[in-house]
Amino acid sequence: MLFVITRAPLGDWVRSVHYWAAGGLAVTLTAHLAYVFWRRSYRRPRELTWWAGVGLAGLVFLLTVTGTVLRADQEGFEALTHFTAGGELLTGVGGGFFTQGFTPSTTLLARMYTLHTSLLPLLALGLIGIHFWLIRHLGIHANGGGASTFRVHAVRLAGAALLVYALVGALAVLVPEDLGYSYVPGFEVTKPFWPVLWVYGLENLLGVWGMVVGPAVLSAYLLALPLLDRAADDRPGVRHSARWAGMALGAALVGLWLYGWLGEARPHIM
Amino acid sequence: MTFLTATIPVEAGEGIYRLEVVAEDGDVSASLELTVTAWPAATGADPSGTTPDMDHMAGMPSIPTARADDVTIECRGSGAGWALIGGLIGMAAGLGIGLLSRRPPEVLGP
Repeated sequence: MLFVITRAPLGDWVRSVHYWAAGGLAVTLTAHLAYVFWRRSYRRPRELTWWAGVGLAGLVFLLTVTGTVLRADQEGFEALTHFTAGGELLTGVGGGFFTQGFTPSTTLLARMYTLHTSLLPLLALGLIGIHFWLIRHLGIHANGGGASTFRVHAVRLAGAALLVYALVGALAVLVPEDLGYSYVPGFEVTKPFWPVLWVYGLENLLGVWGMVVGPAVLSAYLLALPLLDRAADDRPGVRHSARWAGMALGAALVGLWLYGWLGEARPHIM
Repeated sequence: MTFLTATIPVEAGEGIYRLEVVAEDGDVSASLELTVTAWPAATGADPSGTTPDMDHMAGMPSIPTARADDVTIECRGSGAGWALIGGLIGMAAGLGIGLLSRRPPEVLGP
């Protein structure tokens, strides 16, 4: 990390762009998910598009937490211990992958590096391909039905993405991301990267199980939504028990995020 | 086996250095990479000076302290580097505005 920050050409800026872009992705992804939820665009025949999007959201969550590990500072070390603790809780359902005992010959940190830089991005590219192909194939579910085309949508999407890139690039210059202090094993003093603060808030309430229960409940709801909301009308908004449940879940997430942000830092594992 | 003692100059800034042993004929006979970090990062000591510095007390072991805040690492950017960054940001903003202000085609359909 020190080499990237101090020696690699433009390394400090590129790293800061990576940090701000990750936060920007969390914001735009949440906004996109909320709008699609409000528009009820997850309904037939777009269930698969929605499920591909939910899969992408899950991958972004994993990319966020594996990326934190690679900081290799106090925050990164604590993220790694969370992975290990979560892996031990879920050993029966594949969680053992996140423990050192899974492959003693390869360090857990090296596996995190491979996940973050290779495996998860490849999976994300595949799901983005499916997501976009389905949007192209099924058409845009926009106001006035048929008022927009994939081509128009893609051009505007590219334009907006470039503006976000310019903003992220400027933020990386004005507010470069620092690095934490060298980690001291046995202590838990940091809070996670802000997009996952809601999980931290839940851990304050439920202990280490919070990081398993929260994402599991959210994923289960999002995956089940197209099956729960089968109402024939096409009106946006909240007029169905499944959508009210989603609003309640969203409010709980906001509350947990604020609690994680404003509440005191507590150890959950150490 | 050869032992070598090297003293790091106190004015050496943070970063990664290559330490080379040069023979009399000018050949590099050995080299290693050396990472220099700020002393609070290396020892976990309190840079504010509000806690006693155990390192200087005879017989007292160093007690590391975990910290949640960040180290500010000074980076030296070159003029060309800043120009390239400015160019990339400007190009992205210009292209983005250009694409967003484009008139959509008349043909409708998926």
